[in-house]
Amino acid sequence: MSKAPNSVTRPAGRSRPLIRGTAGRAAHLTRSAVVLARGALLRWLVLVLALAAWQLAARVHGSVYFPPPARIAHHAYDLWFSGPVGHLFLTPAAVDTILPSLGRMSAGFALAAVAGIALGVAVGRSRRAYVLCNPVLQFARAVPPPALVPVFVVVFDFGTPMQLASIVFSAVWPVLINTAEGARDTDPLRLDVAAVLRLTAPERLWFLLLPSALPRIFAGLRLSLSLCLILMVFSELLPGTANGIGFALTDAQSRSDLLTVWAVLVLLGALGYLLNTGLLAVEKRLTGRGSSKGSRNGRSTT
Amino acid sequence: MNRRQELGLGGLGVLLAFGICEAVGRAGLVRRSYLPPASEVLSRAVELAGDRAFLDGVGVTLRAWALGLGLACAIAIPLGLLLGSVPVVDDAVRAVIEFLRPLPSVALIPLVSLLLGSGTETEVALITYASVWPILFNTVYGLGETDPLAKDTLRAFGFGRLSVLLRVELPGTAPFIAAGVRISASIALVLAVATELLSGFGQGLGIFIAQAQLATDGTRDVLAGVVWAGVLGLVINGVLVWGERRVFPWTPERRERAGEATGSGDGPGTGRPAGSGGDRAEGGLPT
Repeated sequence: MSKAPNSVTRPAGRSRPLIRGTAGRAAHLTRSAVVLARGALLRWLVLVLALAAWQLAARVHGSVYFPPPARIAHHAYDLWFSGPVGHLFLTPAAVDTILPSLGRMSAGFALAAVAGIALGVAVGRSRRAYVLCNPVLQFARAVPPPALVPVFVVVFDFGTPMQLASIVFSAVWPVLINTAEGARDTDPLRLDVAAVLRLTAPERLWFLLLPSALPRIFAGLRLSLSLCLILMVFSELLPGTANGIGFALTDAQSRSDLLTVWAVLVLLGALGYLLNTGLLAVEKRLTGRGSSKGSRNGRSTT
Repeated sequence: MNRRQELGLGGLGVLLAFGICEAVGRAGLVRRSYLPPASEVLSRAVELAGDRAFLDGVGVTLRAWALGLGLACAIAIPLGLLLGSVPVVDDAVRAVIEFLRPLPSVALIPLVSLLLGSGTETEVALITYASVWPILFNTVYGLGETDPLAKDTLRAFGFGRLSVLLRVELPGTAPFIAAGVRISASIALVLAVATELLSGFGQGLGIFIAQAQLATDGTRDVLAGVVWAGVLGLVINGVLVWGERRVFPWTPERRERAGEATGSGDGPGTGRPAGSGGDRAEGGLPT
């Protein structure tokens, strides 16, 4: 409801310093761009050199355990990405391996995030609730998540429910605890202002609590994401699973197919990198303007 | 609310959680042998405290944990100091690190057990690999956070690079390193249990759980093992937090806040430090 005044005032306020300092900023930008480019060049150079050294060493030694990276890449391509265009180049093996894992992981992550944020706000809103729940939460977080997987195996038997439960149950705690702390640290002054303005509870939640807890929520989400990935792989490594990336890994291990093992590792590394980068991008987008905008909205709702 | 009230309320929370678990176990929602009531699990856990074989297993796990964590410290702290103080090295190694880090360490278990066999070496190697990252990144981050004024002052008085490092940068970074070690300690426990669960024979807490799972009516033992794992994690974390407070009294609240402010937002460091200086948050590291 307060979008209109914001969008009118903001460009006017922003444009002034831009005009004043364009020349200086441009010079500064080019300088830092040069430094950045040099850094990036060095990085890639070293990476390429490292890969080349590995390639050479592997060729010379001919070790079974460390196949040359080019062969690993080629094997991964053959295995998963040489499919028809209609399937986004994915082979049937990729569809059978990667998609179930990703599906379970994203479902688990989404469930853990929603449950964690909801419960976290509920717990963090009241000091009493926080003190009441804190010891139990700390204990739940302290349990190493893989230790719980056997419990879920017994309760749910092998299969997707067991894997989903393992992922959710280990990923929910960091989000929950961080959200609770974030909601607890809301500026009391702002809470008072919200009370004076007679914001309803949902308004207060949306305009005040969530924006101010957002940085902490994302800190929790990042942790959860890496736990999700770990638990996804771990729950698939256990004997008894039928598909997924982890299954491909154990399967290759039992056949001593080192090339596939390495290919799976590369795939997982790329997946982890992409997921983490994606989450960071979302975080930057949301927190980059979220916190200030949220509070501004909260103030101008009246 | 004073301290005693907080303790009372916290205790009440624990009792409540215990009661709920007990009720769920007794209500027969799930078969009794699948999910035994909390009291049975707890009494079994207490019973295990007097079990020689079980305690030996826990000892084996803890030894691998300590060895892996120690090795990780020995690798990560010097490397972090090097990366943090020599930008060229940082630029050069950064890409390699960025490619190694996102790999979920659990996925390495099959490869490493093919390479090293399924013994203690595998466990220690995996623990080390997973624990290196938080310590390394916290060290680099902490070096970036040291007081520039103090460094400049020392330089102005003619101190060399090394003594600036030893006198200002290391003390300033130490709290960050300690926070990294604490994060790594819990990750190391995760890896220790995970490796043992998968290898399935030998000695250790994870192996106890894995074998109990196979036995008929073994859920009680599994859960008792889980309780022990949780207690271990809690004790390790508590000791490290307490140690940090004792050893680094000079870490002001201010630093904690600053760490949070910078860590929460942007930065190329990805999930490092949601308050690397603070004791509550842990860096969001893909392990």
